[in-house]
Amino acid sequence: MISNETGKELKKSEKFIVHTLRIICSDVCLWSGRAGYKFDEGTGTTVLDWGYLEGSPSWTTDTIASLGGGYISDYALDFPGGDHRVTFPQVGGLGELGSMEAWVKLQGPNPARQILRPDDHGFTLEVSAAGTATAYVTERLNPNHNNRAATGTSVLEMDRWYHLVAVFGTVNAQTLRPYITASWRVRSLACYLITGKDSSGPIIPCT
Amino acid sequence: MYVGWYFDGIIDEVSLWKWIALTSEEILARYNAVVAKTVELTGDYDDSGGVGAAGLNLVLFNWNTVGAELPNQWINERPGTGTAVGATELNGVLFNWGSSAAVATVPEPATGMLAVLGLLALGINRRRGSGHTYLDLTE
Repeated sequence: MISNETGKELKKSEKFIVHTLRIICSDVCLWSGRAGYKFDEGTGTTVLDWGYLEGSPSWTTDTIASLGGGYISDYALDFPGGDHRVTFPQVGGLGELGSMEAWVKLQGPNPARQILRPDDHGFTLEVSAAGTATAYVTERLNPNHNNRAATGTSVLEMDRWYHLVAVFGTVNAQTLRPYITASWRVRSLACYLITGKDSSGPIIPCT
Repeated sequence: MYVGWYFDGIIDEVSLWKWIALTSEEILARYNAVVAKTVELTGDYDDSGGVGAAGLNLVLFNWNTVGAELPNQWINERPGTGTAVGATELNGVLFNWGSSAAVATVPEPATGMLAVLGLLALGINRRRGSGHTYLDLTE
């Protein structure tokens, strides 16, 4: 069920008109302010997380459950590259403070692989042509609304699960400072600081 | 919002937070929630759920091999691309010998060192045959 901020259930035709992440449903969000997309449905072209497949993404049992930590993840989505994707309702901007997270396993050399992005480019998490994790966010407080970017320093290897997190926030009410953490199972959490367009450093300690 | 556009690979468990910047501790907790067993169980290189002969063989048969050249059977804790298998990986097995995912114990370092000395005393010879390479740790 999706509700607006007052908790009123929306009509089916209105269900995609959600301007914030205050979505109330068991599969999509765990608490106010967070949207989670589990991709555990396994069949069909519509995902329970209120999105629908476009092109040829396919369900796969090669999930992060294979990492052996006991985490339950029945299915994941296998993207073939090119103009294929899952489209979700627009969630609006993440505000001046936000976080993006995804588990990814690269299987092909396509450049600029986009993990998630909104229609209005307010925020993007992708793997660059060079194979590094990159996050973009729109600096809404900047008069020019410039994008800020953070790029991880390590090249992601093929056929290996990575945990990518991009965090960004406002410092002195002027600057969005995103940074990327990327980690994989064989080493403890590795934290890669910002390089690229915004070299001013992370907003929180990177340990 | 698009997920997986021009992405060649697999995506699982995507999350967004509005007006929340995750802290380092929160990020680590989310990572550990998925790979907790690996984090707790050092030395389970073959992902068998325990630390034993299989992991030790991986170390010995691939001694001084850099991470990028390791066989696919080496699943957990692969050394980095430019890092070779060595004492760190050997100690990972010896210090955790007999541990399992359910009960991950860490023997006293002195015990592990005794085991290392025992291996050295055995003077495992480098041989080739049956598809295996035996290492001489006394070289």
